[in-house]
Amino acid sequence: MISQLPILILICPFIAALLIGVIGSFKKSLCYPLAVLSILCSIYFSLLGVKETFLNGSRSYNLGGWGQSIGIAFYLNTYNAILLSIISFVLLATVLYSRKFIYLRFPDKFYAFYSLLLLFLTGILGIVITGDAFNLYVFLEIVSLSSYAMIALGRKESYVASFRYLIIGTIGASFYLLGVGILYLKTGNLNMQELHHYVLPLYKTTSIKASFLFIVIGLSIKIAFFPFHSWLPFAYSKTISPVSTLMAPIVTKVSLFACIKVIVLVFGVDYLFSLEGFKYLMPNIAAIGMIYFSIKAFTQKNIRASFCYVLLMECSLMFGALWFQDVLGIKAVLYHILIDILMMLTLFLSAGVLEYYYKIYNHSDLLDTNILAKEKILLFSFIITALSVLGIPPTGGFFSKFYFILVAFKANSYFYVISLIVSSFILLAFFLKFFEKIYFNYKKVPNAKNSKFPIITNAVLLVSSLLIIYFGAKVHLFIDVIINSFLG
Amino acid sequence: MELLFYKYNYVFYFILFSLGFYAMMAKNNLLKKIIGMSILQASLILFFVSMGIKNNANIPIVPESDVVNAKLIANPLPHVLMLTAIVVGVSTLAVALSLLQKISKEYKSIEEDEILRLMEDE
Repeated sequence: MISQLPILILICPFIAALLIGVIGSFKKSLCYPLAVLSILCSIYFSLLGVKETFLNGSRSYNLGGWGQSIGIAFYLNTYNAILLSIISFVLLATVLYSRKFIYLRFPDKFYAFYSLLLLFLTGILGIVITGDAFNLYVFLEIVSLSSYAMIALGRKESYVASFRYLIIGTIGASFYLLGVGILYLKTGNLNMQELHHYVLPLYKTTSIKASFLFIVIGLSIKIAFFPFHSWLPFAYSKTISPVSTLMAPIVTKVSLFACIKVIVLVFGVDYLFSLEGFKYLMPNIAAIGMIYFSIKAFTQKNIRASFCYVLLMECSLMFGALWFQDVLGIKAVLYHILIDILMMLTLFLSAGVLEYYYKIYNHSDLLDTNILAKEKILLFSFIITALSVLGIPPTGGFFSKFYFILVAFKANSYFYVISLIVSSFILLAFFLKFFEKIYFNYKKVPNAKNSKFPIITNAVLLVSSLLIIYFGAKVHLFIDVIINSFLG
Repeated sequence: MELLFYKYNYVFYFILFSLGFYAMMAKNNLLKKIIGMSILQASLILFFVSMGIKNNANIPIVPESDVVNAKLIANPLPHVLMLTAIVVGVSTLAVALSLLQKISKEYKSIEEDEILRLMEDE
């Protein structure tokens, strides 16, 4: 079974998605347990993969037994496997906390939601694990199609949001496909590791430059990098809260990982380091984006919309740090991807439960509630996440921001450093505004001991905030060992 | 310049691609945006399909015991890849059209500026 591990991670949610789609209409009670079971299976297999690759090194898997250059190859290494298990954990958290919400909202058709959600999971896991450039496009489109459908589940604004996301997302995917097409035209191969050997002698040619540009532009639309971000806040704040909880932490980060994967595996780190123009251009665009997004986050009225801008700020931060021509920068980005998934999970999960249990939608609604007395765990994990977003020591966010600043200084990109610090201070003001409403408008209410949330929600919040601290404590293990397993 | 004349098919796909891209970005009518999306995807499919074509090449069915001359056989792989891309394109089109139907039912319009105005009014 160990030899089949890479495909087992992927196939469980895929089969469950098809099964739920088929049996859902007449056997509704089976759908929810089946969805939870398949996600648990994929968590179990990815954790097994972490253990296996940590002890015995990375492994590759050829689908259907075809050779690498003909068929599709999957690559599993320790970093990959950790990313896969965190993604499955996010999906599990969403499925567990949103059960009641989905049953109430779609009493007849909730099985379709679970089917879409598992298809989305399949696509995301596929993007992370695949080693084939065209296969990546197919998984990207599976993710996008299920996201369009899920985003349109909200009220009527969400149809427009989803339509806009569809148009922009299709342009992104088409640019990526065009880039892959040019690569195929030049080399006649699609496997990422083999492509690298063909691309090496062609470094100076215009066609490689063009395909690099097309791929980076296409994926930066999916990452929601600064000028291409307009779809994200609109889509994620208009849809229902479980959908934003499961998509906001994952989609942009996994697209960023796909971008790094294509750059590192296909073009090679040396190609990235030979691009002088990008070194000055990209960090500066990211710096403008960071300040713009943090101000936007501060001025939003809706809680979820302001978290969307925090997410965008983090995306710009990470994508900008990729271009400093330093391996440490790429490592820090890969490390920050893991931390950021957990941070955004806590933020959007708490926004979702506050909407559902307390009817808190806007910042002004926070004033007359007694969250402070009741929801100790929510506040604890929220504070940990805020510390991590701001980059304050015991949390993982501190180390990645520290590395970003270090690398930016080495590359003499002072504008990036300044805007990182300035935007962190603006976000500090944003979080203080948030906590000020909770702490200083607090009225003592008798008999307000018990938490309104189900125990599983509190457990998820606690686990993800503790993981942020744990990843911070183990930063050297990640930077020196685990991420090297991916970079090679 | 000589290259452009020689590889005129790529020029044609580039024109189609820009046409679709322009329609998706600049058109106000949402249905026209969807048409632009179709044109864009069609241009990409044509681009891939034309990769596999060779002069005087035959169909890629090879009798078993024969010695194969690769120059005389069209490359089937891009065509097979495009089967997947066509399926993706069709499903994207279906999702887009059903979203458009919902939008026109709710807002009684498929002009983007009108919809945005209606959304701000609420």
